[in-house]
Amino acid sequence: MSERKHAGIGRVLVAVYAVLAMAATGRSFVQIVHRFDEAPLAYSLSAVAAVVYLVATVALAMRGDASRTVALAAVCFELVGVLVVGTLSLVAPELFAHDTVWSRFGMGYLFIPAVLPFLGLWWLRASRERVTA
Amino acid sequence: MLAQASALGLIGAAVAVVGLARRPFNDWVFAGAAIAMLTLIVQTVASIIAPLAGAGPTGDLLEYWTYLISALMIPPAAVLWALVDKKGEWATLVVGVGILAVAVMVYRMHQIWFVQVA
Repeated sequence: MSERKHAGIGRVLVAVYAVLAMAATGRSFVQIVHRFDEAPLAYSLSAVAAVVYLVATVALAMRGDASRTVALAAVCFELVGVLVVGTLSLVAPELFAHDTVWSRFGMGYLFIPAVLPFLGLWWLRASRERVTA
Repeated sequence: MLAQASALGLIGAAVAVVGLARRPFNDWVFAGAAIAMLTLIVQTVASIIAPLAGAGPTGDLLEYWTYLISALMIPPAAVLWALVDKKGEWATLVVGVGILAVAVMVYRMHQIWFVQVA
């Protein structure tokens, strides 16, 4: 069977990642244009997050081992990002004068940024092709 | 705009529920996306005219238009993404996610236009 398992759910995952990527990109764009000097760390982080989400969206949508590896890297980066930034934003808020996508574990986005990497990791694992000898 | 956000929220939730039930993509789902697109187009026209008539946004105009242009791209993209997989189980949920995202964005745009001070 050549169809990847869970191809359908994968499409929903890509859709959610795409929306998040667009949200992060839009927000990052506006922040950088307007007020970069106000909170350069936070806004650079938003830009990095936007890029990671874009990469994850495209990589999850594509087939092939290379894109799945890229997707895994992006999702892992995202997971680390949301955990680290989320914790830091609570413990050392002065570092983040303004909100990023990952602040407070993505609270501003209904915690979707915190949940999504787990879904992504699950899907990448579940949809591996079984190679029959 | 609040009414628009609420209506789209309801439609999006309805489509999402249907999507979770894995009913296939049908005309009703397409209608939901079409309605969302239509309200966004009306909103765009109103957003261009209103400031000319003196009723501009209180909030950040760049942020508002970034949201609006992003929102305009969502219904067509969601429908396309779903249609490519039309017979699939999850195509409906893709559209539902899209409509819900638009609903949230409209709510944010309402805040930017009427509430937030730039």
